Amino acid sequence: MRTRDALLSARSYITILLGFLLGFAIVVWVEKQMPTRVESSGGMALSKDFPPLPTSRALTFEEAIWARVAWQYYVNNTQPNGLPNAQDGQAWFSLWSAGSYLLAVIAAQQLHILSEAESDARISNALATLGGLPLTPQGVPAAYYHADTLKILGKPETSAIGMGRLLVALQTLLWRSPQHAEAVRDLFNRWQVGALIVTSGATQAAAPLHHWALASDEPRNSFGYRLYASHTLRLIDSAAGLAVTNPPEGQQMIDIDGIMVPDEGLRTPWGRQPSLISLPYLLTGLELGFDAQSAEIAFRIMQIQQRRHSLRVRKPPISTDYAEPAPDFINDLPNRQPVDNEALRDAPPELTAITSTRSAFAWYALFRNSWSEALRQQAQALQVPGKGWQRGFNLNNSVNSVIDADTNAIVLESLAYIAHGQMLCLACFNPAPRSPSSAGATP
Amino acid sequence: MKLKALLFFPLLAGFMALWITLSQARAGDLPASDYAPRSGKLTAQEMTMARNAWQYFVANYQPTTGLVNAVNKYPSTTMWDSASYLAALTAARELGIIDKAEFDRRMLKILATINKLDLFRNELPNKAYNTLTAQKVNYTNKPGEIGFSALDIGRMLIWLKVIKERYPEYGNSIDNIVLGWDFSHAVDPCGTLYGAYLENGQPKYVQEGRLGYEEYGAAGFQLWGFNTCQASRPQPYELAEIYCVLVPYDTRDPRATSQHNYVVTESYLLYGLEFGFDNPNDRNNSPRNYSHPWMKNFADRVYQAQENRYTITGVLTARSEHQLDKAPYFVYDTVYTDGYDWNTITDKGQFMPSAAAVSLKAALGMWVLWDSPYTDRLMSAIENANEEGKGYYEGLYENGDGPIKEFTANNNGIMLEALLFKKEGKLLQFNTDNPKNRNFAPSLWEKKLVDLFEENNARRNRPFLESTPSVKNWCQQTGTTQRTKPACQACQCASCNADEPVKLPPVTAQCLKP
Repeated sequence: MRTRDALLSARSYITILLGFLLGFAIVVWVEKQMPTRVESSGGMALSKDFPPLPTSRALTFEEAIWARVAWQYYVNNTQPNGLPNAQDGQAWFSLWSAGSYLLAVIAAQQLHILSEAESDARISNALATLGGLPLTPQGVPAAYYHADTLKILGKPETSAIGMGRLLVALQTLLWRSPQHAEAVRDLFNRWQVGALIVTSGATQAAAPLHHWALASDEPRNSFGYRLYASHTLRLIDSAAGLAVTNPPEGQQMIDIDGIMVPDEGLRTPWGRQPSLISLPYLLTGLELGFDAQSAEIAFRIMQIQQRRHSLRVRKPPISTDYAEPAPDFINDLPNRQPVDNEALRDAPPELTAITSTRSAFAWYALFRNSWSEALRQQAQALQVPGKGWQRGFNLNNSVNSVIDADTNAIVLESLAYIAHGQMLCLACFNPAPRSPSSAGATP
Repeated sequence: MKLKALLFFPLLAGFMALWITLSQARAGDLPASDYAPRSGKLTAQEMTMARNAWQYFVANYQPTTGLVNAVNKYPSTTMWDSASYLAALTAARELGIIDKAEFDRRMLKILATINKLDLFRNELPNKAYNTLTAQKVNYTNKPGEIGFSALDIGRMLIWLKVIKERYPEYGNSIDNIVLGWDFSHAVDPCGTLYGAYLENGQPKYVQEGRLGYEEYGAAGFQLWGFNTCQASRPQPYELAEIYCVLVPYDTRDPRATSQHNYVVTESYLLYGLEFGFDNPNDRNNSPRNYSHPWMKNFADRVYQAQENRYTITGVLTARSEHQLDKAPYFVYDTVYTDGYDWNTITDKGQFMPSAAAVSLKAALGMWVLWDSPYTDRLMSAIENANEEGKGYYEGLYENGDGPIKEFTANNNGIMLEALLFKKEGKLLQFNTDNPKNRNFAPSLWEKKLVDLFEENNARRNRPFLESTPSVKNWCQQTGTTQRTKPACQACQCASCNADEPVKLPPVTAQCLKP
């Protein structure tokens, strides 16, 4: 038998073997493309070259205008009941966006956009409305509401992370304007916030055992957001802090361009995908002041971005923010065309990734260097006169023209940070009372 | 060693550049002060705009008098609107819309008419004239007299001067017009401007002009040699914070004087177009060297407040007084009046927010004086807001009601002025007969002023011209005796010092407070 004949008769086996090899090669190649993931439970220490944080300075004229453009969003979108829409013209809000609103009011007052009387009135209205919200069967506010009717939107589920942000705002409020303390206390007399945390028995033998966990599925269930929310959620009770800071599956790190950053693990239909979100760390810096962990992670993310930005042969810039989907409207808004958000909701983060205005402004406020300045200049084209700031740029560089409460609140917070430093500052002086803005300053 | 020093040089240069940019971007400066005026040849699109605007003056020309209706088809005009027509006529000639023959025909006619006008109490032109008969009329266009307006006359004086300087062949006609006017009640020794109105048949002379308009009107008197010290100084004023900008307004109480202290674009705009924010007598035509700095600064503030209003609230803003196509037919559409921002009021002070509009003359004027993305937006909003054969609409309602379907000489005239400004820079350009020049030949006006034996000089309150060496020569040559200014300046007006520098107020207060 000649070799040729032998090969001929073995052709089907050879094909199969080649197929296996090809398949295996593809798997190996794909594996190589994925960032390395390392599990680590060790904390992070601040780098030696961590830059000095900027000192407060007065806003420039243009910054003052940008802040007012952002505030215009709330002028347009505040409902008669006192709470604003989370998206321009869309009558819904979340616990998260309610927190954003309160922080935006505080920032706007600090920047002299609002008179003291107006911001007081706005805060009282918002607190009164929050106090009247219908609650879930557990006695806590739901994650999403209709902004006009104040009915629960979707299933009556709650959000511990959203509550965390609302708590940041309320805490700031307590410290800055104690006259609202009573209204805040009334909220927590009504809300059974303890129900956000459950004591769980281990359900699977293989899963690491945790005694406390968040009670519901989180729209923002990622390491960074948990870390951010943990600062105030731990004020609920001693179990709460443990529940938030213990991520359910252990914290993983990914290696991007040789720098290790936490893998955020945003939920997708295919399980967790490696992703990187800068916003929670930036929010920590703007609102509560950095700790070594959040400062270091933010610093590392910045380094990755900066390196890619300044490479001579450009690597594609990576996005550290994503477009958050609106909640599921399908069966909920009575007089509205159903909005099918299913696709957007389940899309992996890399498809909804954006270069966002909110993080551009936050970087600009927290780390003042040429890179953050360039980022901010890029975002400058995104203001819409009379409406506020658009969300950012999509991956294909088209404008993501959604105008939302979060973006505009964080623009205000960032500018307030430039002028006054972090939002919640227990050791800062109470600002001296000032006269309201008046026409007729003498020349 | 040498190489190293060379390496440091670009670094040093970089630091210098950084320092210069930083020092320019001080917190106190408005972006408006960095926007350059537009200049250069008109594009085809801009020429079309100019031709469209000129249509108004074709349609509303009155061949019997050479005057042009102030408002479409309504045969009445004022000195202000006639000056706007003179501006349009000048622009039409300079931009090549009409030829010299057409220009001369029209100019001869109107100058003759103005020269023969029946004046108010034989003093100054009445507030209104019938364009068909050149009779002085009241506001309902019935024969009669109602008074004179110092500001209208100021604007007319500016345009008479502009034409006299640009086209010296009309110098005699123009000088004769002004020589026929009696200024005894219009300007006082302190340089305050007075207007006149009739009360029970008796003339009353009252101070006229508020910050902005007052200085603009005074500039006209200044060009003809009058001392306008009090009218030309910004005081008394205060500042109102409007969208982060401290906008100056006149503090004379509108309730006490029944004159509204409106802050609008037009007064500053005209000053910018016609004088390039220079002193009226500045013969230098360098576009970015403003010899009247506070006027430029105040104009920047009025502009910036409007740009900021657009940026923040999204309302396209270019505010000026304007006509309406329905009652009450005329509003002051202001940046600030009577204590309120963005106040739109009638001349009686009635609040008319629905009449607020983007004024086309203000929009185009802002476009040419401030080259910015915002004025580009204004331009695209207005460029096609015209009707064939009628000219440009008066404005576009801010509330979205569409155009104000009214056409006026002032609106179309100022639009033509603005386009001419783009081509030629400031519109008042002095010709070569500089009085400092040895061969200077004085005009009819100057000859009369220095003549001691001209009895009308004192009677009509004509100014003293500053004597120049060449005028003296001429006096010596012809044996004319020169009038000299009274020796003591202080006995003329102790309370006003024209040379005292004006300190610029801060541009923003609350906004940037840390």
